[in-house]
Amino acid sequence: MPAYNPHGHPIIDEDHPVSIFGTGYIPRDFSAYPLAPLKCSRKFSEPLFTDAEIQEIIDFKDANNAWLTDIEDRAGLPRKNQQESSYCWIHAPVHLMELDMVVANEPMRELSAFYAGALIKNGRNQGGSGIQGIEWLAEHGTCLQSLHLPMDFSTHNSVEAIANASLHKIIGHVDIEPDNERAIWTQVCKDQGVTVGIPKWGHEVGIVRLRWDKKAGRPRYIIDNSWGMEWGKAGRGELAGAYEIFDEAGSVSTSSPGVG
Amino acid sequence: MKRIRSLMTPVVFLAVMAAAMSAEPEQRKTGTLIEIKSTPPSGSEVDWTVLEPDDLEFRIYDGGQTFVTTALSKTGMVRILEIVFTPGPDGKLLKVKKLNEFMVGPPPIPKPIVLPTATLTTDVSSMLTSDLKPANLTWETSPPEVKVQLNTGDGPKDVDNNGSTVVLPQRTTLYTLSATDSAGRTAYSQTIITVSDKPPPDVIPPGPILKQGVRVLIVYDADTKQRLPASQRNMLMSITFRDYLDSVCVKGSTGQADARMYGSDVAGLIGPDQPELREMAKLERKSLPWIVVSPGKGTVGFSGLLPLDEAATKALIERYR
Repeated sequence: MPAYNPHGHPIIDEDHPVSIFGTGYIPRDFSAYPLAPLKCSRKFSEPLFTDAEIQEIIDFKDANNAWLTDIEDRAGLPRKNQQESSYCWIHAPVHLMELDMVVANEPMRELSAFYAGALIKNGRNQGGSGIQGIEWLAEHGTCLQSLHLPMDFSTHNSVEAIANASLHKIIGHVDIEPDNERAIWTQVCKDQGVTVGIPKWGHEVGIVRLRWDKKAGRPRYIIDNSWGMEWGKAGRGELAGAYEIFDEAGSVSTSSPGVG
Repeated sequence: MKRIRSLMTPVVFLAVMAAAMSAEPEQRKTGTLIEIKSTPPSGSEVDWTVLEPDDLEFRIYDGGQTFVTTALSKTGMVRILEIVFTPGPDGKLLKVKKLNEFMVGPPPIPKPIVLPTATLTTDVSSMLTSDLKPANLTWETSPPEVKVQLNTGDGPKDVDNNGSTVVLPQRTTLYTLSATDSAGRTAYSQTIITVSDKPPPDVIPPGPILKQGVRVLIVYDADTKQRLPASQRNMLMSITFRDYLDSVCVKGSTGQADARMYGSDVAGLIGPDQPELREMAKLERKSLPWIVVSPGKGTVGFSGLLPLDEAATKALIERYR
């Protein structure tokens, strides 16, 4: 039986593990991709929120529906669905791009994670790490999902898709020490989702909200998963225990102002 | 004026000058040579006046042979004497017969006149009678030699050239700073602190000319968002603020309200399908967070700092609806 947090999100921890072990997340190779390896990357270096500040922000956002999840729901942006693919590592950053657009109050657009994933993996259904996806998305972008459908692993790259992808790029990436939990809390408190690789789960997801755990005296992570709207509570869940240990963390701080 | 009388013979005189030259040889290397050609007889007495002895040397000839040399020690406009010697009654004494003044060298560059300057500022320009508070007056003057006085309403008082002081105005007060140089030239600077029962009128600066139709563009720095006041941070994520924007702004080509809140300077990347927002994004932003509002009526919009909270921002937008 899954446990639920006060908001109704299922808690994923050792006592309540997910039934499916992800096959999509391959831990980041830090020799090939050290911290902030990309032209668009920078290391997280901002002042950290204190516990008191985080608590205050959580209380305010809970009371005023001011979380990324609230903006997401207001815009009608659904959680992504990687289906039977191993493409969690590209779905997580693409979803944060979609989220960044609705935070800017742009029209809601569903972007194709499979377009970028298939081209990166040359048509193979393979795991990867978020930084590989961010590298591609910063250089080439990705097209609207209507131009490249889910579970389409083809590498056919039309002129239209290339042109459309160029309008949806990551132009700012904040790379975070994966064990710097306060940096992750701070990012989420200032409304930037964080993609994290979870070795315990073999999965990459996006953290989009926090919950203050009074008993533990610390925040908990609420995620947007990429297993569709049917999973968890409308595609969201809460991480706990070994599932809170990450070996990759980063934010899509800015994506292109989308057009088309 | 310097008057030198010599009763030395020319031979003795030459010896004295030579000793002086060797003592201060560097003084002989500069200047423009002026020659005064006359021929005092041997053993004669010479009587002359030198107006600027430090600038002059003389050459006095004895039968074509120089035995006393003089030269200008510096360039510039210098008065010198032309001395014409004539024998005295005893046939030995030479007296000055004629004095002429010469201008030698280029005219000197006059020293620039340094006028005094004074700057007086305050950190509070107005306050309410019900909320009197201290204000800082700060001043600077130049050049350092000026005499500086500050009048805070009870007469001028000497103060340091640069400084600050705290005042507590009870009524509207004009503060005057003066800086006076030795020639009596004075510079003034004034500042006023207004004390009134009513708040000062909220003056809307002239805005940019924009296409008619309410549109709102906000640009902030997402990376440093936590440094913003909480009220601004909250506004940027407020559902009620977004609902308000969607209700008052015109719809773009996609049907979405033309209201955007970008977390970085991506404005240059706004596509041609959003031409009005693109134009708004081209306006200069002096700092972040920044807001541009295009007008619902007329063509004059607003471009300026983002107000501190949702209510103030809505009030700003309402002015342009």
